[in-house]
Amino acid sequence: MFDATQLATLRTLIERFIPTDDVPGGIAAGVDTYLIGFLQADGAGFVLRYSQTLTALDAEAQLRHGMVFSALSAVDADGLITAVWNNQTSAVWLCDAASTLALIAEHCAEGFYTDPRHGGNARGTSWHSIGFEERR
Amino acid sequence: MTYDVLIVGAGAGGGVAAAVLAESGAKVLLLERGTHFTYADEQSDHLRNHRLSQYGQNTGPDSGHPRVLVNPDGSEHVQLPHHGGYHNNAMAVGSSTMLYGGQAWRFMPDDFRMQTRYGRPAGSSLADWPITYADLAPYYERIERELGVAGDSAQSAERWPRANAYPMPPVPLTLRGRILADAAQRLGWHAFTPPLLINTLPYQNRRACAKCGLCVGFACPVDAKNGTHNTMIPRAVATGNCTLITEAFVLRVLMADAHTASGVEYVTADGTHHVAHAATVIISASAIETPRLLMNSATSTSPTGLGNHSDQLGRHLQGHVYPRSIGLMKNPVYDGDGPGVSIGTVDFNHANPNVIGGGMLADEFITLPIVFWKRFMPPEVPRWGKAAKDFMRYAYPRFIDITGPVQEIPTPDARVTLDTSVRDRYGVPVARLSGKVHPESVRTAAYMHTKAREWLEAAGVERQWGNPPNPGLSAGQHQAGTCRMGDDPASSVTDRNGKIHGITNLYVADGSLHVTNGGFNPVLTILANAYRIADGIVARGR
Repeated sequence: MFDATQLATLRTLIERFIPTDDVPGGIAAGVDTYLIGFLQADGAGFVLRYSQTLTALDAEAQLRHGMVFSALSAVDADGLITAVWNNQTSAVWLCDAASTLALIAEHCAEGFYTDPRHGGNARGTSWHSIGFEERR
Repeated sequence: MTYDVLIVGAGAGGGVAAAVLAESGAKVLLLERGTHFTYADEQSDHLRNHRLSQYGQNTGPDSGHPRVLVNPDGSEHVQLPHHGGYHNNAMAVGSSTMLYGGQAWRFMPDDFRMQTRYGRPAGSSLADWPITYADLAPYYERIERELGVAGDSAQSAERWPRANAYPMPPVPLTLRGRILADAAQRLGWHAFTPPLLINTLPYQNRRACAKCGLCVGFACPVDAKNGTHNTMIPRAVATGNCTLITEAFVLRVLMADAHTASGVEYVTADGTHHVAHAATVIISASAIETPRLLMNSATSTSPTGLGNHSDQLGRHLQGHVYPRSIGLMKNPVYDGDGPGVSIGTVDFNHANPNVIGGGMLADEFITLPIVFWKRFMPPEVPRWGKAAKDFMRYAYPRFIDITGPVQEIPTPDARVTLDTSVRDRYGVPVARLSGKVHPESVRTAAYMHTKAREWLEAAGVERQWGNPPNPGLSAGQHQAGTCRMGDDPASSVTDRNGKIHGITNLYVADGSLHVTNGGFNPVLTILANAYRIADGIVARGR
């Protein structure tokens, strides 16, 4: 689905979208696992947009910082995401940059805030953090 | 085989009709396109349920049953069952009654005489029901007792003439409910616990609510939620007079002549076509599928559909517009106790200045975290990064939201027709939904939104957000109105008994009959009206 560089970019993006603080972030909660599974099933129609976005994010990072996205500091990665989210792009984007980032952020939330069975909310990480409990 | 009564759809209306008729001794065939969905089949999937159908849902129909939605700008879109524009109801034995939150409101006496009270706004089809609250009251009582409603009998009796108390006490106030009760008192409003089709005590050999918190959109883990799937349909089958066939999709109603239905043709899951005959046929497929079936049953004498003698079939489609305001309290107010809704007010259902009708307002069932993220986050909060994560942690335990169904002003242009260019897996033209809510509905919703804000303000929220709604089409799980009852065949599809004008033995028993849809969740009225219609069929000797 993605090459190694794209996968590293995706994992970095997930961690910036749901960063680790005193509560585990997106990667620790398994959002990367969730997204890969999602893109192989209900989200199969999004794979091309993801692929184009991950490539374009790297190109943006190269143009702005001379390195791949996954090598950026958290501050630089957040700055780049903020710029792209506001459609301030320099690289070639084959899909709409801002709306695609928003879409991926929503998919990450779907993994992180839903039932742990899907793989993106390991041990109910997000639910514990907000106080939600499923009493079933 | 020939049955006395054939019922299409084992949901709210069909389930009640099956029990009443089977217990009267009639041989009943109950056809349901869905399956016996149970909690054992329940996946509690937060992305695929009837509250959030992001990628699917926990019951049928499947993607072989699309619909077409026409937006107000004229653009057309094929909708799959989990898309919002599909306006889905659960496809299962019991239909949405096994997945709902179970708010069990009666309509108010004035809800049955909206035109008399308010006149008919230009462009609307606002009308009175051919029956009154008093006609339905005995059947409300029966449903409340026979399915099981937990409610505040004293408060209810002050607003609805009623003969008996609810069989169970109301659910206890949650922490949010106590805060809102105090706020209502400060405002001089009357607020009390909404009646619910949920057991607060063991009732009819089933358990009391376990407070799990996943009511709306999900099956109940302890079978404490009362629908037709665990009350009326088992009763019907227990008589030995009712044959329930699931995964049976009805293709058309068969007519012996222009004025007499003879049965239906249906197809089962294995693709086999069947014909069943009956002396009386009742359609209870909900307010989108019922008119679709009647249109797809067109004959040479009813070329645009059975009951469409006056071009009324499929019109007046309505549901409920929901204004909502969300506020943040200083301290956590979430106690996790399901079902979550525990206080409401009906002070604004009528008698509002310069507004037609009104609606009920209440706190909300427990909100799934992902639903909060998608629908309840204020627009200015970033959807990513630490700010988004921090907001979820801060706001989820502290938010209170007030919402409720606004009584819609029906319009003939909001309608169900057939889309002959899109067909379902059996080759049958699908439902085409078009039109939009009447401007008066939007105006009433805006008024009710101010009341929701007032209540939250009095509760002491630090801030609140949420805009008044301005939707296109409204239908959803509260869909109604498309086979309206009336005494005049020129302006209605059925008579006051639910019988289609001009056909001696073809009835409708579901929300399609509602002339107007009240400012309340409509299920208790659908259930009670089905009881009344079935009772009438029995009384008239079928």
